[in-house]
Amino acid sequence: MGILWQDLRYGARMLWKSPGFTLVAVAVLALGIGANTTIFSMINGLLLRPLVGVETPDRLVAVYTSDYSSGLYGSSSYPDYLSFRDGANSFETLAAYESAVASLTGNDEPERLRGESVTGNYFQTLGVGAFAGRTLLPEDEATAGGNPVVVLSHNLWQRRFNSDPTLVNRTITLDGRAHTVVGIAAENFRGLHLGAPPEFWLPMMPPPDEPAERGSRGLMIVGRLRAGATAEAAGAQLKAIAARLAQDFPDTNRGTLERPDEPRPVTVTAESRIGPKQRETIAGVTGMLMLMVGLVLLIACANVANLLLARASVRRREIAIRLALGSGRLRLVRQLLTESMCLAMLGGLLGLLLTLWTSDFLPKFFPAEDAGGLDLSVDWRVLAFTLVVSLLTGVVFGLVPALQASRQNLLSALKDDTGAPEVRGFGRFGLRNALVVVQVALSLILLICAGLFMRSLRAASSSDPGFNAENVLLTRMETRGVKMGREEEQLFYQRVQEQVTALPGVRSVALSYIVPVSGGGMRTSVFIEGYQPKPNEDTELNTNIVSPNYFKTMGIPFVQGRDFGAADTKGAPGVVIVNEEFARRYFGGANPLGKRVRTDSEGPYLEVVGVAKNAKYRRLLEEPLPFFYTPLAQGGMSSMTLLVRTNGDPLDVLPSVRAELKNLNKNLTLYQINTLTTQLSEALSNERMVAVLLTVFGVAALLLAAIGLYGVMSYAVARRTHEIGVRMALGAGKGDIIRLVLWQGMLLLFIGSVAGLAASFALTRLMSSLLYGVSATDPLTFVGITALLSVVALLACYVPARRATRVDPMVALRYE
Amino acid sequence: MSASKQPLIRLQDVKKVFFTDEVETHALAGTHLDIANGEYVSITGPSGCGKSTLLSILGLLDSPTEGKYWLNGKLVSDLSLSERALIRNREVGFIFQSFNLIGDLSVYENVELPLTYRGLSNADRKTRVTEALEKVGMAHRAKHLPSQLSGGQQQRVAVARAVAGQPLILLADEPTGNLDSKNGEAVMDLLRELHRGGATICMVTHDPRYATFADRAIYLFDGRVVKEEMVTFKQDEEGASLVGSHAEVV
Repeated sequence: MGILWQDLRYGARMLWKSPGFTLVAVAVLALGIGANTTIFSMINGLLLRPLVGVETPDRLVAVYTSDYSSGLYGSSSYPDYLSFRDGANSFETLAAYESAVASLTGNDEPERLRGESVTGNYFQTLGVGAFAGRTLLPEDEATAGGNPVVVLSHNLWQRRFNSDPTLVNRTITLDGRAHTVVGIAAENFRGLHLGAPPEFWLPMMPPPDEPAERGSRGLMIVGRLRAGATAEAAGAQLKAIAARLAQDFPDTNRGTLERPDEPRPVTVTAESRIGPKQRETIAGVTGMLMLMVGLVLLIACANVANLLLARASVRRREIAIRLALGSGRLRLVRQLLTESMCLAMLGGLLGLLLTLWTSDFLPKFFPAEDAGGLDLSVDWRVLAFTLVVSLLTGVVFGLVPALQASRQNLLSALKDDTGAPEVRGFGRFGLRNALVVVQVALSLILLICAGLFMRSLRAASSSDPGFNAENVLLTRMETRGVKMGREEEQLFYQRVQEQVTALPGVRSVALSYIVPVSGGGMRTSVFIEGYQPKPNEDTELNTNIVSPNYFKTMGIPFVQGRDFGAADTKGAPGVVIVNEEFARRYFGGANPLGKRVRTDSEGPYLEVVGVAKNAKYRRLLEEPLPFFYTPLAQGGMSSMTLLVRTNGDPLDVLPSVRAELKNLNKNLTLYQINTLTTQLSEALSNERMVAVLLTVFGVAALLLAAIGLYGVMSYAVARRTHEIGVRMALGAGKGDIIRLVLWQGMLLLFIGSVAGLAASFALTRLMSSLLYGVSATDPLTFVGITALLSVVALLACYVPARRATRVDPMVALRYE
Repeated sequence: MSASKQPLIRLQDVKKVFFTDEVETHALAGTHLDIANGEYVSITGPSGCGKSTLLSILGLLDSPTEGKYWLNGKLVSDLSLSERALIRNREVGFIFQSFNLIGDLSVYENVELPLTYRGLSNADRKTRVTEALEKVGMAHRAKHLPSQLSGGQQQRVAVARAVAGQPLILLADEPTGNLDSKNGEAVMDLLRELHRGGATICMVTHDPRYATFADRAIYLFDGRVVKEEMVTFKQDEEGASLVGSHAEVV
């Protein structure tokens, strides 16, 4: 321990004595370690952090069931939930919940709130207490219909009710109904999942006991395992129950798209802030980012190893004296490694500061709706990761230089014989050169990846969504807080359209339930007259409810037929408009107009009256999906989005639109106010984040490689001063010397580039699924990035080359 | 390299002053020197007398602070760096004390090096390198690296490099300084052979034995030529005797 302390003190002293070296090495390491810590903090925040505000989160599990085509991680029906709750004894409690929205009205501006409808044992299952009053209880379910109660989030209580201490047991108006506030939830509970946190919890009203309810799957299930029970055991129990349900209720509980004759699967996983499907996607993207920052760290290591090798040649005599005085080689390596560790730890500390800084702005890359509760702050996991990475880094960059330094010619070093009689040239393809080649190759890989993602983002941004996003204002309207019947609602929507169309600066107005490329959608089973689905074919299709003028307002052209009109009302024959992909897939070459579809096997047929051009539905990067539109007047929703196409900047008409809507009904809740272009841009926020991060890492890698190349070339020039002097004495001109130095640099660049290109060809194929509109081996990116790297490398070599021409042959030869 | 009346080298009142930390060091203090074509001149003197500075100025590695220098009738004391590099390459051959061969280049490539700066064709370079190596008896070692040769052999290669460009003058700076006596004498024999073949040689040495190999010995002291002697008796052909007598000319 004493020796370690001595090594540490000596190491610290040596670093203190060479502030320039220490500063550069620590900065380079901080960049490498900081990049890794930053991405790890992202992984930690997204995938590793436990649930917040709940009791013993490791005992909470999520239960997923499956409908016909949703895969393993689907939501469940209330009857299934009851079957699981009552049949499985692995759980202490099993609760169900679903998202809910409600309009809060009262004295202030109406506000649309996101909340949850939960079973009475929800808070008990999670182990969440009340900040004030109480949480929901099982008996509240019985009163849900009659004397409704609500629990509010601490945030809503603070924000909307100014932390009013008398709020508990008073009533508030949600969706036009009085609800008694029975409690305020604990301050640190922000719901189970990432994203906009729930602001209220209503007791779930048990649905009527009808067989059809078993097929209505919208509930999430969360369970608390009994002490000693495992998720696997609970899963086995639920599987047995699911098998029984499949026998008893084959219509709703047997058969999936892949396995039509088996019970619908039940999956039990540890409860987490992100669902399993999303976790897979996030794990893929963050894994790729981790690989990239790993490369940055390797480049940083190669850089610092090169600095250490140069430093070892300066400390040759000191090391020789230590060896001569009897220090064992192992002892010496340990001493040198201790110095490396000191550097790595300083780099790690600075890297951690970098992560602290990035943790503030990195969540801004995510759409606000998804990033709620995303905590990228430094916790013990990030600290442990930084420590381990720093230690490993210290070994990686320190070991080889330490071993090499301890293996020197003692006699020659003690004589300080720095120059053999002959002039040393560049010598063998030494370790320093090899390290530069590695840096060039790794930075080329990183830059190519960044280039591919940038091109992919560009292709995605300029891809045709199938509609004209320019000058369209979006405003979501919620009529829940407004007491009106279905017919009134329809009339209200008509008046909204008429009144807003009359506003100055407005070209056309429409309403739709789904806004394209908003990430969401609505699916329903479709039965197409004359079309026989193939075995296992998924005929649940995406749909949208739109008003007349929707296609004109969105700029989606018609291929055939007509728009919905004033005559397409509730009593009139049902009509639909399909998109081109729908027509192609289900009607082949036949004329789609007049064909019939229905959304319920027993329901009325709807006639196809128009075919619209394909447009993106859920995501900008999706392949064309078959989908269809139904008219608002034949089945509306309580929340619709108002689309206003304007002559100029759509935000200019926002005040007048808002005033007009309030004028029509002051209790109307307006939210999700946006422009369509902004929404399109936000749809690419994940792609943008990856591209920006990769570019930052790529530029860092380029910078590090350039520094590495510059360092090696400077070292080579310094080492070759004598040789350059000889060459100049023999008549070499400036051009000859510049060519000489550049040649070595370009040779390293060439070897590194060949290796980097070969590795990139192999690696980028693995990420082809993450790219859009650009091949994983896009020649333009490969050539362009290589050219960019070459120019930077040339500059990095040119400076030492110019310096070489200033070598005074007299000075170079003087030591003779 | 035939003799002519005009001296190949003429220095007129050449001074060289080095300035370091406000201290002026007069390395050369008004040196006059003529070297005729085909002459073999040795420059001797104690350490710090200005021998190497003089040789550097003669070899256009450095320029005088004052005075004039004509090489082959051309005033070269005020040339630019690139002009000096050109003349060094074409008209001066250097032989250094520590050989200054480039370790990564083979014997052949080392000898070829000044010719590549001259832009000669491959064939021309090959002819000249082969001739030069044959002249110094090192043709059989053309593919070796300097580190594979003895000191004497390395200096022979350095001599080959100096003569390969067929310069007007060979400047040798302590050519035996890093060699044992046997190898030193062999190198001196080689220089003598070159001189007999018509080469003009100017050699700096602090060893009085080797000064006698030259036609004329010049003595420097405190940056001035203090004595010049014509060497009348030289080492015999077998190298058995180094006894000679000198006639003072200055």
